[in-house]
Formats: sequence, structure tokens, C-alpha cells
Amino acid sequence: MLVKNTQLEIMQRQLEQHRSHEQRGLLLLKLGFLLTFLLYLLFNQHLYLGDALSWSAYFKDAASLFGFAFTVSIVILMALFLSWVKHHAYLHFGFFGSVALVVTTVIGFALFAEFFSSSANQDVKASVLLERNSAYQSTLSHDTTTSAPNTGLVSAIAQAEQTLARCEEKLKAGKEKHCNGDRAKVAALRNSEQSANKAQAEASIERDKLKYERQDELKAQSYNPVILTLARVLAGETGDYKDYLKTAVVLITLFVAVCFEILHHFLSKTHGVSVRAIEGLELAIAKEREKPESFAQSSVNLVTEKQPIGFALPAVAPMTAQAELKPVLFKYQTEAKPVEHQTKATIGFTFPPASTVTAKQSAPSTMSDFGQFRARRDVFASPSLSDSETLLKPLADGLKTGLDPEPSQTVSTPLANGQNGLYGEWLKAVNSGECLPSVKPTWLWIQKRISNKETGSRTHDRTRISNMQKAFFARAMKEGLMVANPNYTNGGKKYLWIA
Amino acid sequence: MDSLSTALGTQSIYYWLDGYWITDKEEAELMDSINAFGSLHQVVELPMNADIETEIKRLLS
Repeated sequence: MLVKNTQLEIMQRQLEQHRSHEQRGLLLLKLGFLLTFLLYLLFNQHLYLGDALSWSAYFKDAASLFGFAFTVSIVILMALFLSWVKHHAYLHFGFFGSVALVVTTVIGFALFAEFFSSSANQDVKASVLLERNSAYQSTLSHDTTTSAPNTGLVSAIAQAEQTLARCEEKLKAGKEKHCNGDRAKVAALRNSEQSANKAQAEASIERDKLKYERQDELKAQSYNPVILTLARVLAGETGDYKDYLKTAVVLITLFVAVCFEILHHFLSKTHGVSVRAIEGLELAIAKEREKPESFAQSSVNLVTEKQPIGFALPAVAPMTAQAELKPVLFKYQTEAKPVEHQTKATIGFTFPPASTVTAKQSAPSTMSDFGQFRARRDVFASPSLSDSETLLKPLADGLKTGLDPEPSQTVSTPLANGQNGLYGEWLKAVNSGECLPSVKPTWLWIQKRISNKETGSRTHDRTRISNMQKAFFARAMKEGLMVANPNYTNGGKKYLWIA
Repeated sequence: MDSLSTALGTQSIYYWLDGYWITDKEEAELMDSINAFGSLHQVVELPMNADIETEIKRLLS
């Protein structure tokens, strides 16, 4: 009793831990949903409305305002729809495993939306930082330091031209022989003026070039240092890192989006595992509570953990024989009313009158056809019990004796030899060539037979099916039907069928 | 169950009516969930040094 109580306490504690773990996971999933909604909202905003700074254009008249409101409603609804679908898909993955197409679509689109909006945000952020950068603003201001004209040169030219004009007047009057000296002086001064102007223009061009380069540099520097580093890496030794800034932004936001999606997907997986663990523990606790105290002191001790399946237990379990008469049922089977004429519990093998026993009880171990199995949310298939399997009372608790009126039907030899189950069907399929006795074909063979027949969906957990395939192989090897290939190499046959 | 068995110096054997047995509880439940062997498994506690085949045959005989 103490051991059982301790076991129950441990299981209860585990159940509480699993539940709190599950609650935390669900909370994180909800947070992920909210975050996804906001990211999609941002994405749609960038896609349909543009940057918020430009929205003032929509408020000019009623028509623009109406268009803006309409677009906003689309943006919100679309973000809600997309994030909700993604949330639903992730919960679905947790329960039923991933569907490749949906995973690709959901995650692919989420990634695109996330890095689309994030990269646009990086640009906006860089622009805002740039606008606040005083160094950059100073480069935009008009340069007032235009060089003043050389006043000395101008007055010299004017004076030289005046002298030349006087000289020419005197030349006409015959008072001068020539004016060549004055003319040469004017020409020289004009040449000087042209040279000075040219030098000034070149200096201005050079100054503008430096100013633009400085602006580009400041623009580039407004990005995050990680982005700058990645851009420098992408540019290599020779390239200009400023040309790779956009590429770096895309890569970094893509990386962030991938990480977010991986974690989000992980949450959905943990949710599925937690739910299954909780359900498993609840079932185990229920079983444990219903299980009678039956720890035998003999060396061989039968534990009636499972429902007896229709054959009388051997006499080596006297403690079990004295256990309560409450029937232990099939998994998921509801308790049936005990039959009025239930035989009193007696110790030993006394055969009751044949009339009290129905033939149905003779072979309760015969399970229903596997086609009646239904997929469950926890990916276990549960048998749909036929009438013949609905036990009216416990059949094998060590008390019932002579359950069958005919001695031949009393279980003295195993009723099943594995041929009635899925394993037997698999053996037949292998022998008939319908299924190859190797990993992938067997996996597919099992998967086809246990998936939900109504939808044809591949809802069974892949790992679980792999474990089934391994269990089949283990039994086949134990029975000498197959062996592990001693010369196995990658790509070759891992197992050899030797039957 | 397994830790309890170990503490008691015994082991849990999960067996089916056709005589096939294993020691892994999860595998046994997995096999039952798809009706792999035509019956539901039973559990027996055996000493560590017991001849499992013989004991199972005896139980089923």
C-alpha cells in the first residue's frame, strides 16, 4: 500500500510539473501569436500604407481619409488572419505532426514578412538617426564660403584697360607711336583672371565631392555596427562596403526571422508532447488507482496491470485470486454492468455449470478488425470494441474457473499467435511480396494502416511509427525471420529476410 | 513500475497470448495500441535470474 501510494504521489507530482510546463508553453505560444500579429501588422503597413511619416498625405480630404480607413481595416484583418492561421498551424503540428507543404508555406511566408518589414525598419531607423546627426546636417547646409573675386586683379585690369584706351586715343592723334605695351598688359591680366576663375571652379567641384562622400559615409555609419561589419565582410578587400549595406540588412533580418520561427515551431512541438505526457500520466494514475493490491509473495507474481484478456490465469497467483471482483476493462472501454448470475469468487478450479457461461467469453482476446481502429488526438489508435469484446465481468482474475462449457475452449494453449494482429498481417504482406522487409517500406506499410482512414491524412507521429517498425523488426529477428545485415554499409540493406 | 521492480530484484515482463514477450512497457503499450499481436499484453514480475521463456510458457499452458 505504501509503495502504491508513493507511486501515485510521484505520478501526481509529475502530472503537476507537466501541467505547469504545458501552461508556460501555452503562454509562450500566445505571446508568439501576439508577436506574429504585430509583425504581420508591420509587414502589411509597409506593404499597403508605407512609412507612417508619409501618412499625412491621406488626411487631406474625405476621399483620401476613407481610402486610408479602408486600407487600415484590410491591414489589420489580414495581419490577424495570417497570425491566427500560423498559430493554428503550429498547434496542429503539435498534435498531428508537420505537413510539409503547410510548414513551407506558413514558415516561408512568415519569414518573408518578418524580414521584409524588419529590413524596411532598419532603413527607416537609419534615416531617423541620420536626420538627428549634426555632422550630416552640417554637410547639407549651403556653403557660404564662396571665394570672393580678386579685387586687386579686377582693378588692375580696369586700370590697364583705361591706359590702353588713352593710348589708342593718343595713337589716333599721332601723339603715340604704338600701344602694344598697354595691350599686352591687358591680355596678361585677363589671362590671370581666367586662370583664377578656373582654379576656383575646380576647388568648388572638389569641395562638393568631398561633401557628398562625407554624407555617404555618415549615412552608412548610421546603420548598426553588426550590419556594417557584415557589409564589410561581404564587400571583401576591394569592394566598397557601402554597396553591401542593404544585403547585410536583409541577411541579418532573415537570420532573426529564422530564429524566431524555429523557436515558435519548437513551442508547438513541446505543446504536443506535453499534452500527450499529461494524458499518459492521467491514464496511468487512473489505472494505478483502479488496480487491486496484488503483490504476491511467491517468486512468480502476476500483476494485473492490464485487463485480463479472456484466459484463466494460472494458479500461481493466489493473491490475485483474492483480489476484488471489479472487472478490469479494456483500454477506453466503459464499465459494463455485472451480470446478475455472476459466479461467487471461490478459490480453486471449480467448473460452473455450462449454462452460466456464454461462448462469447471463450475468446475475448480476439480483437476487432483493425479497420475499426480510429485515430485519436494523441495518435494512439483505440479499438472500437465489438459486442463480443464487451466484457460483462472479469474473465481472468484467477477466480473464474471453467469459463467455457467446452473443455476445448478453455484456454490451455495460447489463443493468439500474433497472426491476428497487425504484425501477422505484416508477415503475410512480406511473404506475399506486398511489403519489402526493410525500414522504409515497412514504415510506410504501417503508416498506411494506422492513419485516419476517413481523411487519409498522415496524422500519426513519425517517431511512433518508427518505433512500431522497430518493434516489428525486433520480433521478426527474435523469431529468426530476419537478421541484421553483418555487411551493412550506407545505402545498403540494413536487415536481411531469411525466412 | 520498472524502478519498483529493480528495487525488489525483479523485472517486469510484458507478454502476449502467443508467447511473445518484451521488457519495455512503452513498447508493449505501443503494440497494444495498434493491436499488433492479436491480444493485449499481460505483465508478470519475475526474478532477475528467472528463465523467462519457461515461465511464460508455464503461465500460458
